[in-house]
Amino acid sequence: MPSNNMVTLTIDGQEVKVPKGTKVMPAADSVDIYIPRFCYHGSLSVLGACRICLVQVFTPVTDRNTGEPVMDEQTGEPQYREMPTLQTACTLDCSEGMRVVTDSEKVIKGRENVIEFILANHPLDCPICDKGGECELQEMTMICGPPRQLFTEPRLDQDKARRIGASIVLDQERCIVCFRCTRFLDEWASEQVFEFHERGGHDVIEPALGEPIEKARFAGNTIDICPVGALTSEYFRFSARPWELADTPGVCPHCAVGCSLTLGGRLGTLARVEPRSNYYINDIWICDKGRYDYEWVQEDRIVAPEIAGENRAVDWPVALDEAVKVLSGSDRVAAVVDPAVSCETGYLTQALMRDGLGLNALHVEDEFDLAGPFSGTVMDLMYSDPVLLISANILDDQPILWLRLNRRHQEGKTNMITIGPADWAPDQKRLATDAADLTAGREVALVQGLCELVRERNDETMDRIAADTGIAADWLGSLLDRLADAKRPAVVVGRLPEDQYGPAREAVAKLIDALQEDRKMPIRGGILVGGTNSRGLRLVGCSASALPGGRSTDEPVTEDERDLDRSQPKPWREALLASELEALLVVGGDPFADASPELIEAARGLSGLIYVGTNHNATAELATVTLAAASFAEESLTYVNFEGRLQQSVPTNDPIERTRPTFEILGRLCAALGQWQGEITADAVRTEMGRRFEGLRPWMESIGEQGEAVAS
Amino acid sequence: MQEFRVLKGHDIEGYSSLSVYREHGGYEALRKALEDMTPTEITDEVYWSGLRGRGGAGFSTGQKWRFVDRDAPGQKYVVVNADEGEPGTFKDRYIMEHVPHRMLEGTLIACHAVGATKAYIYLRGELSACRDLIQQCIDEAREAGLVGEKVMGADFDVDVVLHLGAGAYICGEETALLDSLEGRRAEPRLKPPFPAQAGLYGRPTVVNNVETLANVPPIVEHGAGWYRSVGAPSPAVDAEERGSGPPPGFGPDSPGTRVFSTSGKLGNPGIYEVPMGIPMSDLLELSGGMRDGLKLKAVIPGGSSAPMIGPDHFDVPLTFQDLADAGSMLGSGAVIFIDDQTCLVDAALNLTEFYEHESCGKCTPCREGSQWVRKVLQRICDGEATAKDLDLVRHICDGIAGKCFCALGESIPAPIISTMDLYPDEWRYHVEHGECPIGKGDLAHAE
Repeated sequence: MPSNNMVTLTIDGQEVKVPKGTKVMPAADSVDIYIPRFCYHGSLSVLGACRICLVQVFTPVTDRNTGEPVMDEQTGEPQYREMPTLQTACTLDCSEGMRVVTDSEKVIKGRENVIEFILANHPLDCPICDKGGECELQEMTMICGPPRQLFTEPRLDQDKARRIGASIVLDQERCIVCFRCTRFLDEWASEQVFEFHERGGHDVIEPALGEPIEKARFAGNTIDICPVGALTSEYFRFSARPWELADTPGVCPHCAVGCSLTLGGRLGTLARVEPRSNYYINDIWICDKGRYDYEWVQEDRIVAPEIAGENRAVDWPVALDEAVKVLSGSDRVAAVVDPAVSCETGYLTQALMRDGLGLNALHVEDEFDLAGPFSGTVMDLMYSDPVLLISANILDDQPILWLRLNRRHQEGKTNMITIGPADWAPDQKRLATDAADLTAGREVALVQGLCELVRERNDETMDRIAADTGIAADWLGSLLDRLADAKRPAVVVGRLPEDQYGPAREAVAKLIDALQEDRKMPIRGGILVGGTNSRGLRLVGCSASALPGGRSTDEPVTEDERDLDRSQPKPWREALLASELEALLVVGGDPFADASPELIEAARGLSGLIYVGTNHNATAELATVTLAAASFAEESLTYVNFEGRLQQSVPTNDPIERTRPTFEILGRLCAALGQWQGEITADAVRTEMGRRFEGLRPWMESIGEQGEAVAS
Repeated sequence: MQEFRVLKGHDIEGYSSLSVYREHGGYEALRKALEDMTPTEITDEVYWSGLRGRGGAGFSTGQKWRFVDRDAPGQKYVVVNADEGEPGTFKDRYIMEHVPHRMLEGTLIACHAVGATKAYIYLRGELSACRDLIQQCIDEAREAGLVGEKVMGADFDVDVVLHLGAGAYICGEETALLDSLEGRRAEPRLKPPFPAQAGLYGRPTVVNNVETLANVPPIVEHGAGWYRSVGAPSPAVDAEERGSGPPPGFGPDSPGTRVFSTSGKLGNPGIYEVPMGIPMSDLLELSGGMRDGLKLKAVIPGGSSAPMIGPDHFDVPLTFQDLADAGSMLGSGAVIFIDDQTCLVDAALNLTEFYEHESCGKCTPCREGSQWVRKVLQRICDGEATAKDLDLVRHICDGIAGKCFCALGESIPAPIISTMDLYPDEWRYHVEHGECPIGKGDLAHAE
């Protein structure tokens, strides 16, 4: 008997059982029967425009009065009736007893017709088309196209190489009008970048507001989902054929979401960055920053180690000797670490400082130690409703998290509520389900107030909190109604003034407790701050307040560890200005960008500034020793994102010129101080981490393509 | 021969004004609907009359209304499809210009029947004369308490809004019309869900043609039995009353009248309301016959989407079923009579140009097929084609047929294939001689 929620059908004779409401296309996919597609895309709404997915369909004949299947009198088998025309598999609901045929002569001919129509006005410029080699139309033409071309009329003459949005170039004549790009922009990005104008054969993609939009956040994804070469990347255009790229699985270095990437290197340059499917993190998308912000990998690089004064490159041993001399010549040394450095580099940096120099002065350029880790994953947030964003500008700071929440929001499955200061995050407020302006600096008061109101709602408290936060009482009331109806709300607090993190942390924890008690299920949330690998750096001990394995600095010293003063150092800028430092070790980033003249002056007074970095910048300018590091595309590294998910990035290129992997540079400094023996490879560092700290061993041993949850 | 029901009063001076319309019994049907009938009874009456949609597809009107769950909470809409754009069709325009209040009254009754409190009249933008008149009708009705709150003192609130289209044939397709009405690019929507479930702004919506709605007041006023007293109704429908089976109005059942628009080189082309089922030749006669001694060569019996029919069917009774049996359709009731001095290849090209221009571009076969086949037809007309191109035309039409998203695309092959089948020699002459045979002496059509 068919169950209520499932239907059973056959596709090419193979029995398939799917939930009611499933379309034929995904049902066929589930049993590896491939039906050609152009407009269909699993992540977008169903359209039925391109017509390439035609299939032949037979349905059981049922008695009009009883609804029972009619049996053939001779065979005793159910009678079937063929639907009068071929059906599009992407739009057709599976129904009980349906028979779908995807390989009959009729179907093959129908597909040929459609391909022939698509090719009619499509230019045959594959040899100069960026999509050539990974083009869905090329592929479908080979698989199911007609054997000959009957179209001999002049083709439509349409725009070529027209810039229509941030870094997107349109070749209108290649467009097959599948509406994937505009559907993505509508259904995921809520961005008006471009849209279809005119009609029929004159259908054209036009910038939505008349001129190219330079500041799109997600529009680059349309390039990936374009089944042909109509939308191409301005950066990648004509720079390589796709098959020439040495694609490796990478991880985005730009924010704490840590999207999975495919790094396309060619001849020592990073030619292309594309998203790599990771359902847990970024699905199949990345933001435009992640996609396009890699010019620095090629341009203005520090290509060899340098020593100031001589103003020229030196050999590695000379530079390293000088660096070791500077670092070991004083006990007033601080390390400044960028949150985008890898776990390996972070581990070796703390080993150098703690075990090599006996110092705890490890400063990571983020606010993670104040805010604490976030509790919850992308998935958790997607399946929470509502998601309360309090001064958390995820649209700008964690764009892909916003994108995935927005899709749920568009589907009516999640509400996004944004609360923050009046002139803050206007786009996120505009696109939220509901938004309110908060009096600046009243985030903690709001969270505390919500906690009170969740525990006991009364008008007096409501009015007090309204007055305290600048949010209207009736708006607060409707928010509480929504929270009361919600199955599983989530609370995300964003960047705050430094002195607010402590109270905010406490208040958020209490609010979550209150909601949890009420709902009797785990509620997710926390303060979402920090850079790419902020969380990973704490897990490997690269912070004044954390030891490897994520241990607290209060824990006793192990036999491998050097006994040292683990008290919290003064913030390094303050110490530098107070002339309390003699040398600085800067690992990654550019902490002197936009620095005050006083700070720069103080840095000039140091006996040494060692910079381990990739590009010429303000910090490199001040450095006495510059140790030329490889970029994220040139070294093996691991990152732990805000959720606590560990991922590995595999280099697509060798380190350029005389640069060396960042971890190797730190490893050689450790070696000079007797803290490292043997070869310095990423694997060796991971093995060492696992050997010394049990908590790191399991996650360093196997990291899958989708990453591994190592903390929560 | 004419029987004025929809057009009743069209010849009365000032009938388009509310006062004259009411003097002649106007809005009494609405009063009856509000005072003496339940919404279900209204829908039943319309259903059992056998009224079918007059826009082209011929769906059962009562059935359409029944699909709306009247008791479900929330907003519901009635949308009047006044985007009359099918080539050859001009009857809705005539109805709106002469008996506009009948359409409006029907709209109000429909609203009451399905529980809608708002109606939109989506008017073809080019019909500027209608625009002012319809707006005036709405204003008059509002002033008289026929539109607004507590209509005729009953517990029925309704608002009517006139909306102008911007000149796209596709907006006659009901779901594309809804997209357009919502301010979006007009493209047909995926069905299901049908408008009755999720239509305008995602709410239950009934979309009815102008003539369909103008049929409603007399049905409500006089009953389904009266409606079925003319035309070619099937007695079986009454006999098997309230039983199962196809809805009334289908199969051999063809009750009521139909407003035809006749065109071509006729003595008196125009609008004729006649009982369903009269022979097409009677309609020709009514239209003054062929002009100037021209001979009838072919007929497009239901707007440009209907395949042409030839001499074998010139006497076909004008019903849904008989036209279907003749390989064509009754469609929008636009009967285009084509004379023997008209080149059918040229006619096919003309209609194909129309479809190419009006294709919305959503689906591949319609968008690409219409361009391609038009280019080939152009070459045939220009005398630059070969016999192979006739096969190519058929090949392209084969590629289009049965593969489009909506009826617009599916209509493209109709005039082409039907004329190729009816008059193959005329096509062949074009490719063999590089010119049109018309005027080259008597054609050997009957080869």
